Amino acid sequence: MSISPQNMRSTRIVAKVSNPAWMAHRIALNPCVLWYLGVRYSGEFHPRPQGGWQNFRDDMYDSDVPWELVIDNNSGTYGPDPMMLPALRACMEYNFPGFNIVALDYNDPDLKESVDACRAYALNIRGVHKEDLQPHTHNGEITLQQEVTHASGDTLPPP
Amino acid sequence: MPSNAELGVQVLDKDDGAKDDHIGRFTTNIQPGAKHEEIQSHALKRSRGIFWLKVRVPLGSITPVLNLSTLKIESSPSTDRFPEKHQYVFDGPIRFSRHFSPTIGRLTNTNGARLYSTWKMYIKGVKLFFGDEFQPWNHKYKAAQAIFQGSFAIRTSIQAGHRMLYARSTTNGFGIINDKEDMFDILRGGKEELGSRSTFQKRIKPAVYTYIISAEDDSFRFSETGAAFFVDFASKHALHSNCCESE
Repeated sequence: MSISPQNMRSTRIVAKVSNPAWMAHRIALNPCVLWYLGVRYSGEFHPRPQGGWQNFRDDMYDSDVPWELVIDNNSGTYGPDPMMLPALRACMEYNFPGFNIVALDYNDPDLKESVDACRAYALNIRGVHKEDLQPHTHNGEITLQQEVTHASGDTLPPP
Repeated sequence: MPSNAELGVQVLDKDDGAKDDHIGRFTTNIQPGAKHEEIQSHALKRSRGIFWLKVRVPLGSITPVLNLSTLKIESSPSTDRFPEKHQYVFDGPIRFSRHFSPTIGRLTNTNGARLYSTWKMYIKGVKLFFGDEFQPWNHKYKAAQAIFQGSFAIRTSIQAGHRMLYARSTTNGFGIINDKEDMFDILRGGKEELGSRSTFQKRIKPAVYTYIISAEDDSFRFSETGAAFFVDFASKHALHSNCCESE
């Protein structure tokens, strides 16, 4: 069959492809659907040496211990379903095979203990400043929010 | 057909019964030879893969004739036992980019830079694990109500912030995650004191990160929970997710 300008417009190339990356994101085309769908998952995570930061010492090499990623659903905005934590864990294991993945609900006391130990290690051993644990800016520093306002000409659309 | 004609191709996937989905389009010339063209999605101008084709001119022909049967896609049949269930899932390699907030200023120490950084990682098999499950915004949460039901201006400013944060820039870093060492590299960082022997740059940093896995492009986006660019935004997670608008 030869292609003429007349029938070219209706030519459909039907692709039977096994696993192309570019089809994974079909829904991305519709922002409305996207807004409705929200996110796949959200929360917080932190790395920890197996046994927790409370049992770690800086004279140990990082390579001396296996590492874990502790990941949770601590997100008020999306309030992710805790029933999906096993799926989240499996997904992270698939992507980051060198880590033991621990998926915990935001209410889980083990999570609080692990986060507290991580932060305590940062503050006490690594000299991280307390204010760096929460978003803040230094005196006179422009925030991203201010940058946004500035870029839009100081006029946001009316509510 | 003139030899300088352009061939425009639209690529659609074939669904049984349902309307076929649009994948993207590309144009190419009809000069004889093998070609590989990038298929671009119509709306977002994203790359949708590479289309291979071969244009042949039959011997003895005065006008070039493009033979549709020579259009060919290099592919192999799925080896998945449940191809209907697991179709079109991205399976690596995991690429990532590191973006810096435009507010970073003239920071010279790399430890500080972490608080102005965000990472975006295209992870594998999201659909495989999450299936058709998505997490909509939390209707019971006040800050979320303010964003998604409240004024248009709030959403607009979050989206503008998101764009600035994830903008393409020459300062962005890029890489591939092949093994745990590559991930360690991302997690490493810490204080570097001049004149002191204590440097934690090469150690895994005890730090907590805020993340989302995007419904938009299956990317895993994260930054330190204490990142400076979160200041004054009602939701860290919405800033990462772009809180897509409803209209």
